[in-house]
Amino acid sequence: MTKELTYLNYLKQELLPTQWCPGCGNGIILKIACMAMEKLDFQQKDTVMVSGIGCSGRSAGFFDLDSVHTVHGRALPVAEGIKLANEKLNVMVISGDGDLFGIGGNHLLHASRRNTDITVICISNAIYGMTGGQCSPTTELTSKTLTTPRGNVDSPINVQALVTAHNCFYARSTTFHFNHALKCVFEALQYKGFSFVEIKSQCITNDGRRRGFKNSYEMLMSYRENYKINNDTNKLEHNEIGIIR
Amino acid sequence: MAKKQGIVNINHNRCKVCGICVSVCPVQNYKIEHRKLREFGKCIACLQCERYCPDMALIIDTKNDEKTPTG
Amino acid sequence: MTKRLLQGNQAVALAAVKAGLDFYAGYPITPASEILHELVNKKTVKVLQMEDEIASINAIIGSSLAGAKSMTATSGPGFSLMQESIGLAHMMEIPLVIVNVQRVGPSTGMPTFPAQGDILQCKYGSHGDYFPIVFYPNSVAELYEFTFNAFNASEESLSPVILLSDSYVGHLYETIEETDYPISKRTLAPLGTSNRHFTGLTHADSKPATSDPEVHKKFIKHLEAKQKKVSKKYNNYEYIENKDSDTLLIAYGAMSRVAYDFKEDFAIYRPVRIFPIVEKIKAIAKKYKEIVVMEMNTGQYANEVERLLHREVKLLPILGGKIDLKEIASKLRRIKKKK
Ligand SMILES: Cc1ncc(C[n+]2csc(CCOP(=O)(O)OP(=O)(O)O)c2C)c(N)n1
Ligand code: SF4
Ligand code: SF4
Ligand code: SF4
Ligand SMILES: [Mg+2]
Repeated sequence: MTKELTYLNYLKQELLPTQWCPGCGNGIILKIACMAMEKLDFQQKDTVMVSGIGCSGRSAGFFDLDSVHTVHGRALPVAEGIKLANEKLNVMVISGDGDLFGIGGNHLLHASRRNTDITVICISNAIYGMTGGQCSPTTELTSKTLTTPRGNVDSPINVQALVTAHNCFYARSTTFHFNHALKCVFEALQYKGFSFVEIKSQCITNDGRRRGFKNSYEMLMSYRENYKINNDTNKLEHNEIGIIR
Repeated sequence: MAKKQGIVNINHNRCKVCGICVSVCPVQNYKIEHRKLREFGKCIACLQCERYCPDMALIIDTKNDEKTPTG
Repeated sequence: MTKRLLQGNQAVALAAVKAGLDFYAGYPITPASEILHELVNKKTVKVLQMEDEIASINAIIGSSLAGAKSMTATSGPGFSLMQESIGLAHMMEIPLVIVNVQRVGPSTGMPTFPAQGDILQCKYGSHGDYFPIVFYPNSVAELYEFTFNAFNASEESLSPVILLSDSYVGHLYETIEETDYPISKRTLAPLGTSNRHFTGLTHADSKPATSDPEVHKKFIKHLEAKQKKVSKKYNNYEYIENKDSDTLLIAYGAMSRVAYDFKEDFAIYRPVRIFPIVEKIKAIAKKYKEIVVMEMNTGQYANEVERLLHREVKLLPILGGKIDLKEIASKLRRIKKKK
C-alpha cells in the first residue's frame, strides 16, 4: 500500500494542484509549513493561517484550517489582532516579500517592536511575482526585472537588521535547503514572541527566466551555490543562512 | 546491507511537469516524454524528488528486501 | 438609572463597553482621540494603539474574526486610510464598528472644526459595490444609544457599521441616562473552530477564488439584501411637522441642532440612519413643495436624497467649520424667497 504523507493533511488536498506555475517555490514552502506543524502536532482548532496578496498570498487558502486572506500588505496587523484577541491560537502568516516588506513594511517594524507572539514565513522570491515581475524590496542590486531593465540600483532591504533590532527571532533559509528551512520554521513556531523566517524561493516565470535561468531546478542550484549554512553566529552575512534568536 | 529500493507513485493530476524531480534524481529515474512525467523503475528511495516536488505529486514507497515478505 | 454628564466621545466609549466591546485598536487623531483615551482605562477592553489607521482597522478585522467584539474610531484622514480594508470587511462579512468623528477636509483641513464631508465616503469610499449601514446621531444621549445600535446592527448584518459623529457633537457635554440597551449576540463562530477561508477575493463556498460572474452577482445581491433586512430594524429619523410651511428642511448631526432653531418656518426632517436612506422620507417629502438640505459639505446628502426622490433638492452648504446662526437665517430666507 502506498504510504500516506500525513503532513499533507494540513492542506485541503482537494484544492490541489495549486494555481502556481510549474516549479514555483511556493509549493515547497507550503510543505515545509505542514511538516513543521505536524512535528508540533498543531490542531485545526488552535491554529490560524493568514496571508496577504500575491502569488504567495494564496497560501492561506490551501490550509485545512480557519484561514484569512487579507488585502495587500496587511497580514501582520490582522494576525496580531487575532493573536491578541485569543492568545491560545497559534497564529501563522505566510506571505510575500513585496507584501511584507514593501506595502506592509511599516507593520513589520511595529509587529516586531510589539513582539507579538506570531510566526511569519516570508516567501522571499525577490520579485513581485503576481503582477508580472517588477522589482521588489528584496531584489538584489544590479538584478534585472521588468521595472529595472538596466539592473536594480537600490540595495535590497535588510530584514535581518530590522527584525533583530527588536530582539526577535529571525531565520533565513532557501527552498533548496529543505531540512534547514524546516528546522527554521519548526523553531520559529516554538518561539515565544515575534518570529520571522525568510525563505528564499524561486519564481521561475517572472524572475528566473528574465535573469537567464532555464528552469526552476537551476534556481534551486543557485541557492546551493550562493548560500552557506552558518549555525554559529548572531549576524548572518549576505550569503549565509541560519537562525538568530 | 541490501540496497534500498523505491516504488514511485506519480499523481499525474497534480504533476505540472516542472522537471525538478528529473534533475534532482541521482539515478536518472525520470524523463519527460510527450509532456508527461515517466519513471523507469530505478528508484533507490533517496526521497529527494518527494521532498522537492512543489506540487505534492510524488510519493515514494520504500521497498526494503529484508522486510518485504517474499510469499 | 444613573444620570451622567458626558462628552459625546466619552459616551461612545462608555456605550461601547456596555454593548460588549472586547477589542479596540486605534491611532490618535483629533477630534476622535478621547474615545481611545477613555477606553485605555477600561479593564474589560483590550486596547491597542497601532502604527496607523490601516493597521487599526486590520487589527480589529483580525480580532473580530477571533471572536472579539471590535471597534475603531478615527476622523477623516484616518477614515480615508481605512477604506480598502472596509471593503475587505464587507467582502469577508465581519462585524465591526467604525466611528468617524468628522473634521474639516479635504486633507488635514481644520482638525478641530466640525464638518460633514465624509458622508459619501461612508457609502462609496472603498472600491466596488457594498452596502454599509451608517448612523449619525446629533446628541450625547443619541451617540450613547446608537453605539449600541451600531454594535447590534453589525452583529446582525455581519458587516462593518459606521457611526458618524463630528467634532461638534463629539465634543459636546450633555447629561444622559446610562440606559442598558439590549445587546445582539455574536453569530459568527470564532477562528480556530473550523476550516473556513476568509478572503477578499470573490469566492464560492468550496473555492478560495472564482471568476464566475454569476457567483459575484449573487454575492453582491446578498450583501444588498442583508443590509436591507437588518436596517429595517433601525428606521431612525426625526420629523417635525409644520403644517404652515411648504418647505422641508433636511439636516443631520451637528447641523440638525441648528435646524431646530428654524422649526417655526420649516418642517424639519432629520435622518439618523443616514444609509441606507430611510424610505419614510419619500412620504414625508410629498407633503412639501420645496426641499432644502442643509449640510456641512457641498451637497453630498442632498444629491443622494435627490436621486431617491427624483425631484429637485436645494442645497445649503455650510463650509469651514463655523456655524453662524445669523448667516444661516439669512440664507434660508433667501432660499424661501427665491422659489
Ligand atoms: C493596494 C494594492 N496595490 C497593488 C496591488 C497589486 N499587487 C498584487 S500582488 C502584488 C505584489 C506581490 O508581491 P509579493 O508580495 O512579493 O508576492 P509574490 O507574488 O511575489 O508571491 C501587487 C503589487 C494590490 N493587490 N493591492
Ligand atoms: S509567477 Fe512566480 S511566484 Fe507566481 S506562481 Fe509563478 S513562479 Fe510562482
Ligand atoms: S517535481 Fe513534481 S510537479 Fe515537477 S515534474 Fe516532478 S512530479 Fe511533476
Ligand atoms: S526517491 Fe530518489 S532515487 Fe527515487 S526517484 Fe526520487 S529522486 Fe530518484
Ligand atoms: Mg515576491
